[in-house]
Amino acid sequence: MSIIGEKTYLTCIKKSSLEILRTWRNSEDIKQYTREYREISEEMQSQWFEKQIHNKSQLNFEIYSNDNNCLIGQCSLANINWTYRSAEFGIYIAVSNLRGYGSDALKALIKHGFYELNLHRIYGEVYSNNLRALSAFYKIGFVKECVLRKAKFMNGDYCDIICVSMLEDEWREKYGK
Amino acid sequence: MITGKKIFLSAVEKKDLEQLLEWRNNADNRRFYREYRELNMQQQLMWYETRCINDDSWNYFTVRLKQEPEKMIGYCGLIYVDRINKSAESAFEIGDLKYRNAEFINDTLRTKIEYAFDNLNLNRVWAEIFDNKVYGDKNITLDYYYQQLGFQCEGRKRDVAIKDGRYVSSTTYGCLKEDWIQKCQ
Repeated sequence: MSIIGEKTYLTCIKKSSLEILRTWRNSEDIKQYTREYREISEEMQSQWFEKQIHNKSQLNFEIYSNDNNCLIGQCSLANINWTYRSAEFGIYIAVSNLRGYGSDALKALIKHGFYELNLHRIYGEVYSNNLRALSAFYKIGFVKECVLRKAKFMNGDYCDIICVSMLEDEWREKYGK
Repeated sequence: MITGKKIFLSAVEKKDLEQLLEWRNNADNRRFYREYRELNMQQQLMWYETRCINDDSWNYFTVRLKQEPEKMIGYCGLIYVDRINKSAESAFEIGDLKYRNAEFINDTLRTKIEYAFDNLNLNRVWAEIFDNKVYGDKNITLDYYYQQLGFQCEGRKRDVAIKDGRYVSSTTYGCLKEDWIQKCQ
């Protein structure tokens, strides 16, 4: 299954990619913006892979660059509530100096959520010190909903969590069919 | 036992599960929380096993009357406890409508939140309240009861659930330890 954007495309997670994804997940740059506080071992990564195959409430993807078909990151729709038709997005781009690739992949992911999965609401949580991500999400059209005060402890201090979301009619209005 | 003014909180016992299930499955009560399923006793037992017994991040209590310890009037919890970020979600239900009033709601919440800060050593407690749901005997929503205890509105999440056939939004309230100390100590 391929989900195609302009600069990127998404595929399902492959066993052969697990090791590189694990290295990225454990790297300081990326790890600080995820919820995981432990170092992920090979065994943990392998178990996560097996579990997510059967987990109907999440979809995980690898992100590839259209130019050279290189793996550049990972994204997901998680906590999918099929009754309320909502899901939480997550994304990281591990390769530096790729301007616009993260936004492109996220747009492809969200389009898939609204057009293929028939979702009504896609939301995410961003740490208040992740300014680059926040500005990218606002540009895509996400709306700021909540500021969860001092909800995250990182680098020795508390920061806020910003909740953002988009509803299906907002997507349609901005990006058409 | 965690004592309040007229109520106390105690651990959930197996014998409590049937009453808890009845309250949980009550269609009117479901309007206040995320659950939409009709649960059976097997699921309730599994929940008891995984959450009440084996999950450190889940603290659930029954709410009982000090004067009548056998009388359970509701339940409450500090759930999704995050030990690193020192935060938890507040959940509660006064299932017995006779006691669903300002006095007992305040007593229950206050007792639980004091426990969260003073015993669980948390820094933040939060709650998600669905829109405009009057709770109890007067024309008051849950928002008011939380605000009484120092909780502050942190934002609204749009179209988070379907209740009574349409999407409802929710308001998130957060209380930091400093808010609690200022308001209630």
